[in-house]
Amino acid sequence: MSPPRLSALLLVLAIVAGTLADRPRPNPPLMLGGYRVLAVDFHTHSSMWSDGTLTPWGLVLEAGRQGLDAIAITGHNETWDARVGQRFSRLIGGPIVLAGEEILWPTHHIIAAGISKTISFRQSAASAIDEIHSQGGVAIAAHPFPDYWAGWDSAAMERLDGAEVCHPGIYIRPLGQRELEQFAARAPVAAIGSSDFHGLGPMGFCRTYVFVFASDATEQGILDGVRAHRTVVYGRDGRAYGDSALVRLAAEAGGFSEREPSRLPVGWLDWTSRIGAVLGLSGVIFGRRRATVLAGWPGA
Amino acid sequence: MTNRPPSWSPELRVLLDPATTFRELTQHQTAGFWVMLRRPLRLLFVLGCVVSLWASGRLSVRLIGDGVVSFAFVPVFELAALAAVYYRRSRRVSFAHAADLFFVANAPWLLWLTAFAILRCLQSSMQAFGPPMPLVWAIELSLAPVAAWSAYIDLHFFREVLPRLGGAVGSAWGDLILQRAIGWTCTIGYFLGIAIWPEIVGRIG
Repeated sequence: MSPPRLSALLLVLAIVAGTLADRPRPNPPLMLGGYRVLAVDFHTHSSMWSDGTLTPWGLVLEAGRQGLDAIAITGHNETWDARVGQRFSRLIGGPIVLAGEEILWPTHHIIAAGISKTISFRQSAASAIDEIHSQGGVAIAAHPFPDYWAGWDSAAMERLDGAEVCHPGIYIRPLGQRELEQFAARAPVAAIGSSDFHGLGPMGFCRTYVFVFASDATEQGILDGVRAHRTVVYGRDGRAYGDSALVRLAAEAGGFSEREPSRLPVGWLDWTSRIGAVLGLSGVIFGRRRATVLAGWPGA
Repeated sequence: MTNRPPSWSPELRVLLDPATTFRELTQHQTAGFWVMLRRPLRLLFVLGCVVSLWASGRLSVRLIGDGVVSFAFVPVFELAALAAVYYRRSRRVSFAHAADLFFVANAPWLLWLTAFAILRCLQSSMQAFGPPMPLVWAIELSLAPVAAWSAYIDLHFFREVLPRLGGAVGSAWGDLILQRAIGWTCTIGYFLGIAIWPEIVGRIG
């Protein structure tokens, strides 16, 4: 078999194996202490003007694969892609999609979840939060590491609904977890875990478990749950954050470990896909080939 | 159809000796819609594969397809920028052939993408989600030499494939700068513009 054909075959094998492994995770409703517990990622970005790598509909499908009950699509200073994702998810009966925005300003980043219109970034954090609340949404401090503390004055902190205590930064920055804890300690806010998903690493790796009333597994129920601080988040090394009674309740139930994403070992289908991908891509791009003068696939 | 002994791909050859490679490839004139599109489509496929691997640790039809849609702007802007340069004056190769060879010059970026894919294949989900800071720096710093290497190869592309008829010195540099100015401005503006703009506005007041 010629090298190009072998490379192509390896790629096909990799794609078949990966597609077979690409199944939605079982996600039966979780009831605990009279509450329905929803796994939510409040911070995701699409590729449509928001420097993510998946389309809005791609985010919805990926949320299902990661066992998430809800996501907020939070474009940078825009809500267009969130509305697209929301409509798509309603069409296919997918996870709940909260239309949102990540309001960017050099001194602060704010997640606005559950809004319908884009909010201007040219204002203070407090003023932006007032606008979020006027639209019925919740305001969450996005990755509040020290680089982003400058904009969080007392007026903003007293209006804030939640703050990320689990974010990829806690694994990247040596003191990241402590920095987020310090920020969250400044005001009574809901503990939030988000992946800040741009495509590097799995969606929902950091997630928020929102406790909603049993009949209220809706967008409004999630927003009410955040406002009431009925959340549990697992940070670095499995440490739990959130409402203490709910943390105890979750601990008694095993801490949702079977729902924690992607800490599962890599299966043989995934290994087949990875090895085939590496060998196949390398061969297709750089491999030896028979130098035929032929107006066809690049190789001549 | 003439069979010759096996040789390395044009992408590998152009990494090592771009001038000779482009001279050889220019000798076999080709044209047509498929010639113009085959390498951009392959680039898109590679981008889709990288998206799939980094989001999920595997290749799947769903994520490859989504990555292709997400990054379709990359070859579109590359082709548009090349067209802006190509049609400035008369050329001795067809636009389709020039586009095909221009995408051969993506070789450093293809090498980087392949390495990036290999990295993800070696990582657990947690390592992919929150890599250590030295690795983040290494990835970011690696972009500079790749960009420089790509510019070097593209300079030879403009010298060997699209020389100014009459051989004016410096025209290849002008073409390279124009192509980069259009292509990179469009690409970065589309992908990062909305995220970068508030930082610019906030700092200049």
